[in-house]
Amino acid sequence: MNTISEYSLAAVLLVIKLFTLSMYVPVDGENPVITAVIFTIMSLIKLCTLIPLFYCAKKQGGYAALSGRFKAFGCIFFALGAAGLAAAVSDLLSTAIESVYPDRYTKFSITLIFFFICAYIASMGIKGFSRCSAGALFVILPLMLFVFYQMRGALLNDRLNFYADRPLPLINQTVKNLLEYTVDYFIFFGLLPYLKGSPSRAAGIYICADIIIVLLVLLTSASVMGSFWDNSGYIFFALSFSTFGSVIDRSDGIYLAISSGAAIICGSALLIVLKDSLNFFNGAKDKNILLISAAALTAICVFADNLQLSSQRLITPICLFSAAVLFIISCISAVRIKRIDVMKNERTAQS
Amino acid sequence: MKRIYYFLIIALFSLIYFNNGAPPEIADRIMIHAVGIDRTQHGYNVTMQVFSPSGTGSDTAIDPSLPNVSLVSGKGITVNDAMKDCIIKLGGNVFLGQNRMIIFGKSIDLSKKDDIFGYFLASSDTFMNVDCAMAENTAAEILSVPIPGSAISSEKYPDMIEAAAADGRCLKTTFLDVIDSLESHDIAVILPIFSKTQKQTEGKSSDSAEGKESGGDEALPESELEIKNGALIVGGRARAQLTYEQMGIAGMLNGMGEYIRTEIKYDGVSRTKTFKLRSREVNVTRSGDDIDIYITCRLSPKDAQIFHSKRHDHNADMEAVKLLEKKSQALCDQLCAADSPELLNADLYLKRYFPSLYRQNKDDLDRLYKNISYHIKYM
Amino acid sequence: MDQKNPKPITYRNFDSAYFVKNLNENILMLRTVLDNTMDLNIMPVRIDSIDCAVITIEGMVSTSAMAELIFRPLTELDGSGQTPQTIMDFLCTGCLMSNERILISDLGQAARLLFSGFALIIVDSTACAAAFGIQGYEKKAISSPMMENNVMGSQEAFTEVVRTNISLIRRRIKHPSLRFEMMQIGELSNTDVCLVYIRGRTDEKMVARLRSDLKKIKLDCILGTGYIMPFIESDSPRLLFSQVGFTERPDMLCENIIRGRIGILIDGNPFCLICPYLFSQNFASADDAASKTYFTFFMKLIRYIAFFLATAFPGIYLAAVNYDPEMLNAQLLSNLSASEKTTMLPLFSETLIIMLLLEVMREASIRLPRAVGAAMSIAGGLIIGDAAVKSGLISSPLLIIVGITATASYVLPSINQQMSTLRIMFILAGGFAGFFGITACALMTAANICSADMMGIAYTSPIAPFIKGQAADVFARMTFEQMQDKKTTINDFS
Repeated sequence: MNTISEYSLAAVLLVIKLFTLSMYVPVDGENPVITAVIFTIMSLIKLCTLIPLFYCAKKQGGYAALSGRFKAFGCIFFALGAAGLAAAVSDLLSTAIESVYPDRYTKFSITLIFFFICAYIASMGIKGFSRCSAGALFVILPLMLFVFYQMRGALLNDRLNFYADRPLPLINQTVKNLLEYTVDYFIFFGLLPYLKGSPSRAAGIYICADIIIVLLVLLTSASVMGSFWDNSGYIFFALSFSTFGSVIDRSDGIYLAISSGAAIICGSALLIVLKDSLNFFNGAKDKNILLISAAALTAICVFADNLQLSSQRLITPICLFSAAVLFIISCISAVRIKRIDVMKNERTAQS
Repeated sequence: MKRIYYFLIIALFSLIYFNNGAPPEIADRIMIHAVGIDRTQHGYNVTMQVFSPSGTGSDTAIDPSLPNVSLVSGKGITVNDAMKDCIIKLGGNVFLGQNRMIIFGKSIDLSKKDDIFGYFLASSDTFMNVDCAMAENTAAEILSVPIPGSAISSEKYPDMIEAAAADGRCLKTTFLDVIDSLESHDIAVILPIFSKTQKQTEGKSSDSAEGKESGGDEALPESELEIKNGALIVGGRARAQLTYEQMGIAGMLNGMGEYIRTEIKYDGVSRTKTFKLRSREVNVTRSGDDIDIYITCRLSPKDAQIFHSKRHDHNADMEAVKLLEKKSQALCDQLCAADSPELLNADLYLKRYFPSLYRQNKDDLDRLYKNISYHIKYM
Repeated sequence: MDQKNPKPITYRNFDSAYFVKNLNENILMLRTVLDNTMDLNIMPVRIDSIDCAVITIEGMVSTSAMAELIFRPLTELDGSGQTPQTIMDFLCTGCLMSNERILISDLGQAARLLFSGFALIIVDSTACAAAFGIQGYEKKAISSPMMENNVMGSQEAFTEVVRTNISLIRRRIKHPSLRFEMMQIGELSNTDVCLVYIRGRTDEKMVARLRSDLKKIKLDCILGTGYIMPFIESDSPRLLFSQVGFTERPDMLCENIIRGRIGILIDGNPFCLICPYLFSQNFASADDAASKTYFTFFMKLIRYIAFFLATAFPGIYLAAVNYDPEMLNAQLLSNLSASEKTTMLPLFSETLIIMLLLEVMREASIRLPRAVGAAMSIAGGLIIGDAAVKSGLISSPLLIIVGITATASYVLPSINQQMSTLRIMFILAGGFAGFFGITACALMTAANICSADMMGIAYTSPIAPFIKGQAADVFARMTFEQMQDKKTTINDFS
């Protein structure tokens, strides 16, 4: 059976979170301590929005609203969302790499091959993909910890404070900034059909690990956050140009490897969701659906790049819209299930 | 079917690579190991140490007995123009990724961020953790001094700074720290100053062994570099020159240094003592308009043994600590009297402990600074 | 009883032909089916006026055993008033002429047994034949393993004869639960293929599935392990690594079948297949059981490092020097830069050329005659090692990389093909796209490895999926005390 455990799903989501973290762009004058607190609160809110889903899963192993006639709607929604987010991920990665290494990589070159690599990994099936992600996580985390160890002087130093020149506007900007990086919510729902264990456990493990990793990154980047970032604006690459190792001199190559790896895993997850949604319409007959999707997305991204359209702008609306829709669907399902339960109890009492 | 992915990916990669997508070869890269920037009448003069291997073609690629670097200099209205001038002279792909040192000349005004740092900030090769220092006179003079003992002489500059910092004689400052201090006026940096001394050593000529007359003492001129002082930079401007002792104190109070050194006379004997910072606590209190910053540092002698009976010079250590405490207090009082407590990170402490007070007085911080006093305690 | 035989009987339809009661007709049928092959020996003999024939294939039977075990008992029968039935009864039940005795009635089996070294005795007026196993063909003696050398373990290896191999296994596991199932595969070759497993340890469904997969093979001949492997692996063309392992050591096979795996012995090949095989098993060796646990841990670590060095190291070197030179230590980079200045080709081309040369030399070293072996090593070392560097074809740091890679690749001979392929892929990835390419290649390889599973057991077990009690075995070895407490089998991984 093609199923994955809660730990595998949590591992996939963590790798995706590492990608979004590496592409984080701080706002002007951002205070990392404030960002860390806001992020923790938002994570707990995110966990609370999943409560209806956990209720549904406990009751009947899924959510009823996406069965029957709603399934077509759900598949269209997931297909469009996955395609849009995949294009945005590719755009984000290729822009980041080109801006950091303009003489070594071009946006066009990364875009040209990114989807084919993701499609290959997605074609290995959900089990192969989840095991690969878990393995990638176990390689990435020690590398990150090793590099962050060199920045340990930045932790808990005098520069950590809650000060902000204009607190409310800063909080507002930070919340908006953080909302852009909620692609994990979409992927969680997209891969939910493959989960054989408890979604609440998967979400719990993921959010706890997420909070720890993000806090670590934000606090160690205190020395650069808000006051300096490199050409690309991305925090990861800013950090990478600031670390100095005893084994490896400059670690920006490692960061490039980590960001690329996490982006490829993210792209593969989105392609799996896209493939499953499209398979609903073609009856799962076409074995080349992944290759065709990859080719189509590549063409769209290259075309958009030539027209200088940025698909990064899609991320926030898709993420917000998907979070809202999925939350509403979960609530509707929970209410329906509860009503069915109540009616069953009444019938049992009558008989 | 799956093999098609491999063929596609390899084909696309090849297509990009062979259509001007290849990066420059390592052999074609011109590696810059150190950069010196001096202010001139009409702009800036940039001097670069460029890697030039002296043993290429022989069994060993690099001859460690030679400096393996050559100097190139360029002039321009901004540092960017001067760098371009150097690049034109060198020809090829300049690679700053292994740059170990940026040395600023004495008269340079670092507050002109775009003029001086524009090239570095625009280049993706620039590494933010590169060491920065100042020259007593000109950076070109410092870079022209050959430093033996290493295959690449520019490796010696950061090594000298590290060794001095480990002895409490100076502080290590990186490019990131410099840029940070330019961005906000509340962060101070201390740049170590390299100075050049001429030393003449007397030695018997080796010719005397061959029977030639040794005409008296033969002088061997030996150029040496040393780090004696430090420049305190706030907002790009040099505000004071500090002795090595003051550098250690300022670094320790700022949280940037780990060692501190002082000279004392105990029992009629002069001796130097180096201490390592074990812990540092900062507490800020406010009573009315007065703001008191308490800094407590726990020090231990650098050469302390793990197991020892009462050190015979334990009393000397205590004396040295007391002396350091007095000197630190004196430095703080001096800075506070000059209404410059922000040089010791007072702004950061205010932001942490009294953020609303800081926010209220953000536009006129001098009013706050008048009421700040430091209280130093070493243990 | 006479059965209706197809007419005419040829080598195409002999499977459905049966012996008749007439001796001459039986002999004629055999000659026709075997097309009067020159190595067919038919010795007519008369016992008490009853015509019999002893049929053998030249070179397949032992002449001394023939004389002692077949001719003497038969000649002693003469003059004791025998009938065809009594002679056949004597042959089938009344005498002990060899270890193996089979009563056959069809030509198909008769042909197969003749070619397996059996002697057939046909008696007139009986529609059957007695086959006696008196194999005497030339075979290789048991020798030391060629590929899986070790220091402290057994020095015996499998041979080309399946029955000898069976005895090697039987000597090591003296328990009735050890089972051998023989079958013939190959439409022309009828190769003896034997399944080996321990009942009670192996999953019966796995055995049944393997059995049916083997029976579905319709190849003409089975001459080696490679012929069978694609049919028993799932999704074989897509996967880089094989889920079926092989070994030439009986002790390694025994260790595996004790853990619930199934062995497949093939006549004519000194390697035994093992399935299902896990990725981590490629890093185990026979010496692990003979060493202390801490040393086994250390050696496994060395093997994992060797795998990394043999596959990814050249590609990472290329990516670091060309795309991320700032990663390298300044002195190292300066040395590399100075060395590369003297070479005429770009580093990417140099690396590809030298790796291809390495593969050429490896292939040559396998095939060259022993007499010129030493000369070839010197020529290879001089040409590539010294002259190539001095002439500026390659740089000396690259030569060191190649040397390390080549040495590391010999640590794991069982996955040599995959390492060679991956090495080239990583070099292309690193050369074309730096660390982005290396990451992409590594992820694609990892996904390929992780997606493999055989009969419900993941190839990357017990790491992914993580199985707590077994994961330590990947990096070290369970102590023997633990092994006697927990008798784990491969079924624990499903």
